[in-house]
Amino acid sequence: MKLRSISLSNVRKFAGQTATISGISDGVSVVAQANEFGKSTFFDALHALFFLKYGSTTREVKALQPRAGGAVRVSAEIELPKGRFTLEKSFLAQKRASVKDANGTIIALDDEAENWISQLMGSGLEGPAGLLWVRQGITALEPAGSSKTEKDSLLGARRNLLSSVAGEIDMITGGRRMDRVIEAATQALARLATATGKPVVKGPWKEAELEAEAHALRHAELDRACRDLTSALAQRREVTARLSQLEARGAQEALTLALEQAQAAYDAAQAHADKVAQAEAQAKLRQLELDGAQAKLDGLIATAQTFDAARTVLELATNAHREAKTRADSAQAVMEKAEADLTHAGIALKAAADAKETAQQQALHRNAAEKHDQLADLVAQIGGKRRALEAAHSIFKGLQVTPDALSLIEQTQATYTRAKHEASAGGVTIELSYDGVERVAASGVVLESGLHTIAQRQVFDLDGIGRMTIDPGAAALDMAAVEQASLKAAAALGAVDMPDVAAARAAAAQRLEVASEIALLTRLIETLAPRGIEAAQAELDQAKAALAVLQGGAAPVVEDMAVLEKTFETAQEAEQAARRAYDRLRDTRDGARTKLAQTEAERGAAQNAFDTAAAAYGDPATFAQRQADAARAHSSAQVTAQDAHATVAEIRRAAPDLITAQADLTRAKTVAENAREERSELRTRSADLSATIRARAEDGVEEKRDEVAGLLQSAQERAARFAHEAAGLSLLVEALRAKRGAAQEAYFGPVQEELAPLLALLHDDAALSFDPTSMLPQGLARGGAEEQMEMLSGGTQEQIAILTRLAFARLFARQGKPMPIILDDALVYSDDTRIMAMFTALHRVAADQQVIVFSCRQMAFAGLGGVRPQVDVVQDR
Amino acid sequence: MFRFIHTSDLHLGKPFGRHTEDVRGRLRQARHGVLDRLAAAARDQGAGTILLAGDTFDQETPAPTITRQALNAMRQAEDITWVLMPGNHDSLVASELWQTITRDKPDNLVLALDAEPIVLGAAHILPAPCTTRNPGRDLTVDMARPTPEGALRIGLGHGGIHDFASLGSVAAEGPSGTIAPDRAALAGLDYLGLGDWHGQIRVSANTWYSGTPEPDSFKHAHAGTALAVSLAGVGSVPDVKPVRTGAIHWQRLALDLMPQDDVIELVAGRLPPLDLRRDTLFHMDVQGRLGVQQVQQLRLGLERAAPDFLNLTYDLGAVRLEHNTNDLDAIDPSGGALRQAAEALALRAQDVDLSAADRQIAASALSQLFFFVAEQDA
Repeated sequence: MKLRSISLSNVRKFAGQTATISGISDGVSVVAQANEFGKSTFFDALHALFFLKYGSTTREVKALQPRAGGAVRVSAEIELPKGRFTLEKSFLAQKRASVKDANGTIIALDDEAENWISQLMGSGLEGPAGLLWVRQGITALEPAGSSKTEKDSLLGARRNLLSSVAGEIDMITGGRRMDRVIEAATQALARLATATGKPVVKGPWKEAELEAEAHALRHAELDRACRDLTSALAQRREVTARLSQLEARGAQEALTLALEQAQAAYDAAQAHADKVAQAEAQAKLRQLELDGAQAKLDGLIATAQTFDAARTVLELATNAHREAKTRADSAQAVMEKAEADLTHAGIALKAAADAKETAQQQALHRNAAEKHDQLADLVAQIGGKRRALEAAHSIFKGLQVTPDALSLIEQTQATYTRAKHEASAGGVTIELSYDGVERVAASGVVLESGLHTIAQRQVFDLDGIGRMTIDPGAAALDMAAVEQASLKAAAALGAVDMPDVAAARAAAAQRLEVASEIALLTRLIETLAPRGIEAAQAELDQAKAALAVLQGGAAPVVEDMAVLEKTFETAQEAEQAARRAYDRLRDTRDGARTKLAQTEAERGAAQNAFDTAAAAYGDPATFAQRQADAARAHSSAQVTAQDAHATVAEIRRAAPDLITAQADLTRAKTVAENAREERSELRTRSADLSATIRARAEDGVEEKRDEVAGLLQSAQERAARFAHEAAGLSLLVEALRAKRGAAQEAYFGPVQEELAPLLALLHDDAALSFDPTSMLPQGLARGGAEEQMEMLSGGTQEQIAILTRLAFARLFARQGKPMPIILDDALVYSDDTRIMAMFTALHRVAADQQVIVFSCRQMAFAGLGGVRPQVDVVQDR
Repeated sequence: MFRFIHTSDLHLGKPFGRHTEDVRGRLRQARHGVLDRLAAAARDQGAGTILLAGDTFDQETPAPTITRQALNAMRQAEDITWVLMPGNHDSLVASELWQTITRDKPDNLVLALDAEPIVLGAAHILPAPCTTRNPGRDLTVDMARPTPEGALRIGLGHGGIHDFASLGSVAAEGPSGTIAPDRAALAGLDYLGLGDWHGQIRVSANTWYSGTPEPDSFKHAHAGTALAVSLAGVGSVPDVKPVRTGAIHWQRLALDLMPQDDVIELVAGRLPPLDLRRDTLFHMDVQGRLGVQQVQQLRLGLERAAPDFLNLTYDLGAVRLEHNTNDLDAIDPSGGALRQAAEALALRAQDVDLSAADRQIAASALSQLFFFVAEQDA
C-alpha cells in the first residue's frame, strides 16, 4: 500500500476547514512545517482513519473534534497493486465509513468498509502496519507506560510481522501457532499441576486426591462398622446357638434328672451314715460296759492288794512310834537335869553381878558430886562477873559524850569564843537598869536589865518617853555571827545534856573508863564460859540431876573391885557352860519329840489307810466270791463289745461315700444354677447384640461402605487420570519449549539481516541482540562489548527504535506487502551527524518503501531531501 | 402344568458407588422396580410362583428401607407366591436380615431357610440355602431327599457348578463352584434353578442359571431377564423361556481398530439405537493401532455421543498410537518446531526402552498436542 494523499475536514485546529496533503511520492516524502501547523493532527487523523472504528466515540476520536464540534472527516487516497482507492471515515456527528475505487464508486460502506480497511492493514494495531508508526517523541521500543494488554498486542504484532514476512521463520519456530499451543498446554497444565509437578490446590487433580482421601477415611470408618456388625452377628449366632442348646427340652430335663439323682444318692448316703452312727453308738455303749466290767475286776484286785499293803504299813508304823516314844522320854529326863544346873549357875552369876554393880554405883556418885561442885563454883563466878558487866553497861549508857560529841562541843565553843572576842573588840555596849516598871523594848522585844551590845543601828521604844535610836556607825558589830556561834555552842552542849565544856570533858573521860571495864568483864566471862553462860548453867543442872540420881542408891560401901570382877567372871563362865549343856540336851530332847510326832503321824496315816482299805475290802469272807463274779461279768461284756464293733465295721463297709454324694449333689446344683445364669446372661447378651445389629442395620453401613468403596475407586481413578494427563501435558510443554527454544536461535536471522546494513550507517561493527520473549532489541554490541538498551543515550535508543522498524518494514516489503512508514518528529534527540546517517537509512529503505516524515525542523530536515508534498488548507463552505 | 418364574441375583441395595450421582439414582431406581417387573412377567407368563435363587439382597444387613420396600413389593403382588432363598451375599449368616424378614414377611412370601421341602401344590421345592458366604461344600446334596410319589421335584440352589468349563465360552469367567452339574439327574429333579451367575446359562435341559433380572455391571452380555419355566409333569423336559425384566442396559463393546479403519463410521455403526441409549450404560474398550487423528476422531465421536447415554465410558489405554505422516502434517506440515516436538513425542511413545507408563505419557502428550493444534486451527 502506498499513500498518495490525505485530507482532513473539521479536524481539531482545522475547524471548518479542509486541509490536504497531496503529491505523496513513492520514496521519502517530507512534510516540514512550522510548529502549530498541524502535523500531529494529520498524524492522528490518519491513524484514526486506518485503526479506529467510524462508530467509535473514544477519547482518541473525540480529541480530533474541534471545539465547535461537528462531524470529523478523514480521507486518504491509497494505491494498491489492484488500483487506487479512497478511504473515508466520518466520526461523531456523522458516523460513516466508505471505500471508493478510482472511479469514485463506493465499493464498501460502514462496517464493510471497516472490514476492507482492517484486512488492508492486517488486523489493525495487531497487524504489521501498527509497527511502522513512530510518534513524536516516542523513542522507546515499546511506548512508555504501555499496559500489559498493549504490550501483548504489540508483541503479537511483531510476531505477526515476522511470521507473515518470513515463512521460513514460521516454519522453524511454529510462529504464533506454536505460542498458542504452548499457552494452551501451559494453561491446561496449570489447571492441574504446580511448577513442581504437584497437584494445584483447588485444581481438579488435587480435588480428586482430596476426595479420594476423604472417601478412604470414610471407607475405613464404615469398614470398621461393618466388621463390628459382622462380629456382632457372629456373636449373636453363637449366643443363639448356645441358648438353644441350653433351652432345649432334653437339655433341661437332663439337668433336672441329674439333680434329682444326685439328691437321691445323697439322701441314701445320708441315711446309711445315720445307720452307721447308730451302730457306732451301740458299739460305744458295749465298749463302755466292757470298760466298766474291767474296771470293777481291776478294782477288786487292786483293793486286795491295797488292803495287804496297808496292813503291813500299819504294823511297821506302830513299831516305829513305840521306839520313838522311848527315846523322847529319855531325852526329856536328861534335859531337865541340865536345866536345873543352869538355874543354879544363873543365880551365882547374878549375885556376882549385883556386887559388882553396887561398887560401880558408888564410884560414879563420887565423881558426880565432884563435878557438881566445880560447876557450881564456876557458875557463881560467872554470875558475879555478869552482874558487874551489866552495871558497867548501865553506867556507860548514861554517859553520852562520845569523842565525836566532845570534839563538836569543843569546836563550836571555840568558834563562839572567837566570835565573841571579835564582837567585844568593836561594838557599843549599853547597860540597862530599870527602876520602875517601864521597860525598854527593841523591835517589840523587851530588853532585860544588864549589858547589851549594840552591833548596828537599832531603835528602842522608851515607853512614855518615845523612841531612841542607837547607831554604832562605823563600829557597828556583827552580832548576828556571835549569836549564831553561841547558838551552835549551846546546841552542841545541849545535845549531850552538858552544862559546859568542862563537864563534857569529864563525862567523856568517864565514858572511856567504863568502856574499858566492860571489855575486861566481857573477856573474863568468855574465858570462864567459852560455850556461853547458858551452857555452863545447863552443864551444872545436868550434874545436879545426875548427882540426884546417884544419891537415891545404896549407901556407898567401899569394895575391892578387882575381886568383884574376878568373882563375876568365874560365875559368868560357869553359867555359860551350864547353858551350853542345857541347849545341847534340849535340842536332843526336841529331836526325839519331833521323831515321836512323825512316827505318830505315820502310824495315824497307816491306820487311816488300813481302815480305808479294810472298808473297801469288805468282808474278807466274801471277797473271793466277789472277785470271781467280777471276772465272769468282764468276759461277758468283752464278747458283747466285740460283736458291736464287728457290726459297725460291716455297716461301714456297705456305706456309700457321703462326701462324694454331697459333692455330686453340689455339682449337679451348680450345673443347674450355671445353666440358669448362663441362659440369663445369654438372653441379655443376645438383646445387646441385637440392639447393636439393629443400629448398624438401620445405618445401612454395608451399603454405604460398598458405595464409598465405589466412590473411592472412582476418585482414585480420576486422580490417576489427572496425574497421567498432567504428566502428558508437562511432557508436551517441555517438548514444545525445547523445540521452540532451538528454533528461536534462527528466529531473528532475517531481522538481523535487514538491520545490519542500517546499523552500519551509524556504527561500525555493531550488532543488536534480541530478547526471544519480547522479540525486541535488548542490547547493542559495539567493539566487542554489549550495552543494555536502557543504558544507551536517548539519541541512540531513538535511532535503534527507528532502524528496527525499518528492518521490520523491509521484511514486510520483501513479502510483497509494502506499508508506508510514517514518522512524526521522530528524530528529536539525534545529533547532526547521526541525523544524516538516519536520513540515509530512510532513503535506503525508501527504495522500495514509502516513508512519510512530519517535522517542524525545516532546516534540520532540509538535508533529508525527498519530495515535499503540497499542503493546502481551504475554508469549508 | 406347573409354571413359575426362576430368577436370582437381584442384589437389592447395591450402591454403585463408582458411578455419578445421577447414574446411581437411575440404577437404584431400576433395581427398586425389578420385583414389580418380575411380578408382571409372572402374570404375563401365567405363572403364580416366583423362585428367588439367592442374592436377593446385596448386603448381609441391608438398610431397613431396602428390606421393607422389597417386602412391600412382594406383599403388593399378592397373587404371586414368592419363594425366597438365601444366597452367598445374603446367606443365613445374615441373621438380622432373615429375622427381620421372618418377622415382617407377607403371607405370600415363603422362606427357604433350610433344606426342608416346600410344598407348592403338586410341586415340591427342594432348597439349598447358603449357610455362609462360602459354604465350601455342595449344599444341593440334600436335594436327594424323597418327596411323595408323583410330586414335581424342583431344586433351588445358589453357587457355581464345579464344571463351568464344560459350558463353553463362559467357562473362563465362571465361578469356581462346588455344585455338581448333574445334580438334577443325581437328585431326580425335574428342574434345578440356580443363582449366583449374573448371566443366563443353560447347564442342561433342566438345569439353568437364570441370570440377574436387572444387570449391575458390564460383566455379562445380558439384558436383564428371568426364566419362565413350565413343567408339564414328572420327568418331562421343562419348557424354559427367557423373559425381559431389565430396565437398564449394560453394554460393553470391544473394538480392535486398525489405521485403515474409518473409526467414525465403525463406531457409529456399533453404538446402540438412539431409543435405547438413555437407558444404557455403554462402555467401549478399544485396542489396536490408530493414528493420532483417528484417536482424536474416536474421542470426539464418543464425546459427542455421550450425552445420548445414561453413561458412556471408554478406555483407549490399549490403543497403540501409530504416527503417520498425515498426522504429523496435521500438526505442522512445515516441519518446524511443532512438527519436531510432535515427532519427538511420537518416538518417545514408541520407544521400547522406556516403561509402558512413560510411553503412555508420551502418547498422551502427543494426543494432547494434536488436540491443542486442532483447537487453534478450528
